[in-house]
Amino acid sequence: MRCKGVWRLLAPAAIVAVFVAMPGVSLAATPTPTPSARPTAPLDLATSPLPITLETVPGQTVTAPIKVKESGSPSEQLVVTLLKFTAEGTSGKPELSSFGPGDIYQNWVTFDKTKFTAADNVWQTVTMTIHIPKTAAFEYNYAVEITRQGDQLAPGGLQEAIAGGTATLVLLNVNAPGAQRSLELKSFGVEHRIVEFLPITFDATFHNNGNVYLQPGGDIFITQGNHQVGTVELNDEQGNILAGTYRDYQVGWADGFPFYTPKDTKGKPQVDRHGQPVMQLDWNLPTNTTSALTSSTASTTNVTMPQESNNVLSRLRFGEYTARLVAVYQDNFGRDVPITSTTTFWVIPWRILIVFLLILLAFGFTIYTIVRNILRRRKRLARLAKKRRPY
Amino acid sequence: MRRWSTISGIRISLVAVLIVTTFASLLPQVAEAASVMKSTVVRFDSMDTSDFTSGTVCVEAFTGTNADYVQVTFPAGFTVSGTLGNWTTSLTQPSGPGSGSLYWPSGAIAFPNALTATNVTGQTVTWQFTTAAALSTTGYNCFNWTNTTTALKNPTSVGSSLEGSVDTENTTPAVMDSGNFATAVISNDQIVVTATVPPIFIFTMPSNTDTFTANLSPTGTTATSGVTPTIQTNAKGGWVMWVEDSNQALSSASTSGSIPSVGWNTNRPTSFTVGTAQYGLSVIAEAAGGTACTITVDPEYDTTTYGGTGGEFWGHWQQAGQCAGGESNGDGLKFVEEAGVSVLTPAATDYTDTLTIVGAGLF
Repeated sequence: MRCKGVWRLLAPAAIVAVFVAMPGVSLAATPTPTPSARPTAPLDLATSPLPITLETVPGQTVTAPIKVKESGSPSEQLVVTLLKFTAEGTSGKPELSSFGPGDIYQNWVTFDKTKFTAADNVWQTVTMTIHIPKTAAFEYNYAVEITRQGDQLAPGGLQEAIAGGTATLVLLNVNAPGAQRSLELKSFGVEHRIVEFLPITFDATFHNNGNVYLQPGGDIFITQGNHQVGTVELNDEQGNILAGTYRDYQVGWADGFPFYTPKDTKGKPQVDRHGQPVMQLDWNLPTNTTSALTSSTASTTNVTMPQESNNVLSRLRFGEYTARLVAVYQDNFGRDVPITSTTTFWVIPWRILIVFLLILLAFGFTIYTIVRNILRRRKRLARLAKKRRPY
Repeated sequence: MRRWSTISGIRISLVAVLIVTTFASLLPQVAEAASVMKSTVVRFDSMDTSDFTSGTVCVEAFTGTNADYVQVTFPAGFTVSGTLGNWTTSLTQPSGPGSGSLYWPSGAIAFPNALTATNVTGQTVTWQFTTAAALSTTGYNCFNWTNTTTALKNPTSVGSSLEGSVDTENTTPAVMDSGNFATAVISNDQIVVTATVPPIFIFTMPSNTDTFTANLSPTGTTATSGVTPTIQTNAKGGWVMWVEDSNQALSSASTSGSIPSVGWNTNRPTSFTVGTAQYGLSVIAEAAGGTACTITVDPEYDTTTYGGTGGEFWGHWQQAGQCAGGESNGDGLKFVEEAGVSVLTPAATDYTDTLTIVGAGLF
């Protein structure tokens, strides 16, 4: 009897102890930091990788190691919090939010640690484990937030508490029966159909009408006549399109001279009153490092068409150009599905043309004046000769 | 018969000399022995099997008198070109790290005169000095054979302790100094270095407090000094920052006073009314320069572009701004809180609020 009484007392404690001791189990995905002193040092957090893309099937377990490093303080207490995200707008911006009561997929996630001491300048790995139930399908998006404990405590005295942190986005595709990988090109065009100088900006908007996230790739081939004059890569940042959302990819082509480039003042880019970068004309040939919009604005080559000559003058862009988009994504069977579209644009360096025209006019007028004077002189000489002719 | 005593002393001396000379000529001849080099180094630029290689010959001489020739005998198995023109030399010390000491032995000097190949016999190549010269006996003298495509070919199979020699000769020519060297031939003398640069995201928050620059007043708006979290990332898409507010107000625990956040004003910040208790957030782009991404502040907080005083504090994650289109090397957003009070706002020194700012790379 006495023994039974002891077990009654110990049993709940033992169950809790076993539960806590189980590796990879977090009692709460969103821990509440225990109050502690406010840190005073600046926060310097590094995380890798970003984002994390995962593919799995129902019933499987996947893990995602997230590396974290704190710098500047001898040690900090870091806290891991799980959030979710969706796409906001069409530029690949995530919209963070907390889980709602219906978001049962938050319960699939555990971390090997949700609160830990981070030593100065030492990489630590937080392992995120997702146990996918057999009923799961198709796309789930998580954000793993890492913050410093104590930053949110109120400092008082007309001071705001400012807590900082990083969020690592985790995109998960669960390829259950019925998963559909489908992408539709909604539009492809240029920002301005006529420009004076490069760069020209291409806009390609896709709609993911499937139910898993996708990552399109491809190129935009630029031709003039039957010559290929440039190629720019689409989605070189390897951005994803979430299921059911739109995404707009903008890529610029600046491979000409002169071309516009963002203006810097003392190393800082200038912006106008609308926050847009102030551009200046650059008379050098563009390189990858002088790209105006993206790192892929300089041309690469495509061996399937005649290439333009290496003559520098051929980079003085003038006339009508055709841009052909060839985008691809992978379907359910891993096959590349191409999507193509074509648009045209004009480059008319009108200021250079006006100057050239004025020079031409001045030259023509000079020639005309000289010829006219010669003719007049001849006529005058002829008249004089006629007058002096003896009768 | 004549007695010894009757023969003259001169004749006896002549006979003695004759006998000594005869015996001396019958003794075995001792050749003039060559000296051993103090040190010999032959370095092959490639040790890979079947590679053609150039290389360096360095010797520290024992004999300090003039030498006319240098002979190098390469180990058996090496294919030595018989064409003299392939054995061009250079006396120039290769440039490189450590002022060349990693290419020639430390303190080495060049051979004193130019060398021209004059003979190739079997594994032995002979070079002649333009004019005879003495090699240093207190340090290395070096020269390079420079042909990398036709002069010397490594054996087709690997091997170790492959021995050769380097000699100096006088004008006779007779060997003055001689030294041996050993080398090896290996299957691969190159190391392929590979590295991975991971996607990385560094978020720096310079301070976790932001103080109002003066006491709040009903006659105007007061701002905090501002805090500028910055981001460094190699993510090609750029980054985004969100802000979440804990109270949507500046609150005083001691008086229960509250200065509420302004409401949402779509696409522009709200302009405060003087003498009203209002609280708002202003966000300012802080470009680091020289980076590829372009900062855009959400218009509801962008007081620089659209004027006004500040935007609404939300209790959930609200995007403050982004830097899109490329990598970032320290671009950031400056968060400034603005507040005004009415004459009825309870006086207290503990008005406070908590903002959480989180950054992430675009997906």
